[in-house]
Amino acid sequence: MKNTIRVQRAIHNMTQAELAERIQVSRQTINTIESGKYVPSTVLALKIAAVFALPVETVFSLEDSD
Amino acid sequence: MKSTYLLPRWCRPIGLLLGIPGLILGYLYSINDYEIPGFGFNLRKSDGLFQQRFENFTNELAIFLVVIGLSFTAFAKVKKEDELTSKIRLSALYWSMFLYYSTYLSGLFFLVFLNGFPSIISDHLNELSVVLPLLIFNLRFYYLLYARKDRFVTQAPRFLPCRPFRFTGIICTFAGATGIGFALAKGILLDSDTRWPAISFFVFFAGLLCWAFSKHKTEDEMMIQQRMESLQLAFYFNYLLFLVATLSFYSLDYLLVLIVGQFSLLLYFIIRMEYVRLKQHNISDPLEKGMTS
Repeated sequence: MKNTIRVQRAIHNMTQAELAERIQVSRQTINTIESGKYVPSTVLALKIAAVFALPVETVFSLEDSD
Repeated sequence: MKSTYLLPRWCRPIGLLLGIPGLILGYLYSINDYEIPGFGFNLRKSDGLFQQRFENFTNELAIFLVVIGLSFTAFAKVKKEDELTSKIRLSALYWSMFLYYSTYLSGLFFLVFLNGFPSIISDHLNELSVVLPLLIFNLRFYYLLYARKDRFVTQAPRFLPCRPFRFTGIICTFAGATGIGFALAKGILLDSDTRWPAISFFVFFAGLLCWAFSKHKTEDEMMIQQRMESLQLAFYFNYLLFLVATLSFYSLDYLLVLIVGQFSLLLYFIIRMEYVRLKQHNISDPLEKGMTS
């Protein structure tokens, strides 16, 4: 699953640490998700999308390999 | 995924304070035969061949310190506990158990079939089987957390394929258990002249390992999560029971506890996993029922 968290952060001028703080996870977790090494749970994905005020499928989308 | 069945954060420094002295004491007891002078009491009326009147509790203390200490360091919440750290912990537990038990099985193979086992290991097998799983688990967990500064190291757990391992595992477990049962009934389980009880134990253990670490027919995300939680609960249960047994049994009885302790974790894990699977299989949704009838 790919995501646009990095792009959305840039648009909202938000650091990884700030996003992590907003959804109560560690900065490393945000970095691991951003680099595509970890697929978050639905709860976490919804929380991230809510921070950017976007539908979850705008931030996360399936890849052909999924 | 929420972090479940974890200990509070303050358990981690306490775990270090208990675990490190425990490891040192355990090392001194095993390698240098060190015993804390006067640390024990007269447990029996007179000295026996294997059971002395005065029972020293240095080894029991070391076991307690190591098991509680290393469990605390591994299962205490980290500074910022979230679903990923929790997943990493369980993945590390799964990985370390697989590594430890595979190594143990290889050692057992050498012991049973080739009679060649370095005495440095075989002399301390019981102590190692208590310490190593906990130690490997801790090292793996903290490696995954801190090997990279910017992000966590993640690795999805790998399983043995369902075919042929699961079916073979179940058959071998029951075949081996039958062999052990016969040996127990005949009273020759620890008889060094008869070989088949040892072979039965090897088959039983190999079966448990294949059964525990092979995929189900359909292994999806939920099943993997249940598998991990089952392993965590089996781990708690196993070590809790082991600590109680350490307090309750001595000398030869305790040797039996240590032998059972070599495979009990795998057994509890399989029981919990199969129980959850069966429970879910039996849950019938009324709407689904109406649709199929």
